[in-house]
Amino acid sequence: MRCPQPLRSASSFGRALSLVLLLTPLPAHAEHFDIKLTATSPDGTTKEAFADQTPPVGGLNPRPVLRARPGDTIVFQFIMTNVYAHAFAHDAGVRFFVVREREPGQKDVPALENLAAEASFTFNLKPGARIGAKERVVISEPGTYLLRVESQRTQRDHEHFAAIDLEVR
Amino acid sequence: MNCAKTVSKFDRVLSPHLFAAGLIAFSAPLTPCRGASGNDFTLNLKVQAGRREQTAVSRQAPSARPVFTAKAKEVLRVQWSAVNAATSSRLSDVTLHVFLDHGDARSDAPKPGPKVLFESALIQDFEPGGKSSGEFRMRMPESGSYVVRAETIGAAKKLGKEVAASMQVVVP
Repeated sequence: MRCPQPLRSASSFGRALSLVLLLTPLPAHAEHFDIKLTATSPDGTTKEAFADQTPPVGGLNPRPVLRARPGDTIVFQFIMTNVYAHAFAHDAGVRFFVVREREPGQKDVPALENLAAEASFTFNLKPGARIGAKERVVISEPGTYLLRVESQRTQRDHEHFAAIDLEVR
Repeated sequence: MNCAKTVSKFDRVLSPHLFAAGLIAFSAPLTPCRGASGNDFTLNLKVQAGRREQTAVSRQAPSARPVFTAKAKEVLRVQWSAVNAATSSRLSDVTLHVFLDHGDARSDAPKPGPKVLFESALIQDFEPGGKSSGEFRMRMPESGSYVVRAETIGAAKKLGKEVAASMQVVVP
């Protein structure tokens, strides 16, 4: 079942987040995480990414690219929902990070060193569990960055993630 | 599945503009159940930068909330944990809300504003002995006075009150 579609966009973060939730369709097949990740630059440009899975390394979907300038404040946010009715997992996790990468679209995840931003959560995952976060990050150094949120330790044969490339020039 | 209902509940937590309304909605049934008390549920908060660290725990009076001094552009690591120490009481659909924003930790119930630096919300159940934890790292953007806070929303249904741990972060 799909959630109802919103009729218009909104400016405040609260409304935007509400729209994120409203816009996110629930998958009809047996995926266990529904994800929506967004990145917004100071001029209001927003890129969105949805649930992908690994393996394969880097997933299947091409990543959107958000362009920004050094010193810009970028607002990242994600919402993840466990939509698989049978997925109980103790000490499951969600990790969110921004890390420099070689080039946009590279498949492998860079070593998680010198992260521009990072957050992680450990919890007992139950059906319907929902987690969201938002963060404002100033990227000072020009370069290409990977913004990624991913599930961890869900006791299944794959994990889910969503990712956006950030080009700071 | 009632998407609209789920969306509304979660949005109230993360949206600064609707936060107060969310608190009212969540805290309406304030009658605690037997077998559970606010003392059974503990929140711990730790802030680190360089080799310095400071901790805060739930049930500290607002005037006793600790202060951590950081430097501008310094990377702050914030960790939190929540434990339901009750041996028989299960807490369902508790939202664990964490934020870092400009503000005063010594006010009764600081709330995030529209330009909150970090905010997260996680809806989960806490079985007896159940735990949850998290952390984030971020570079402190500028001088100022900040509040970092971890709090429950929805625990009052069983505990009779919400639980929170707060700390002041000062960047001279």
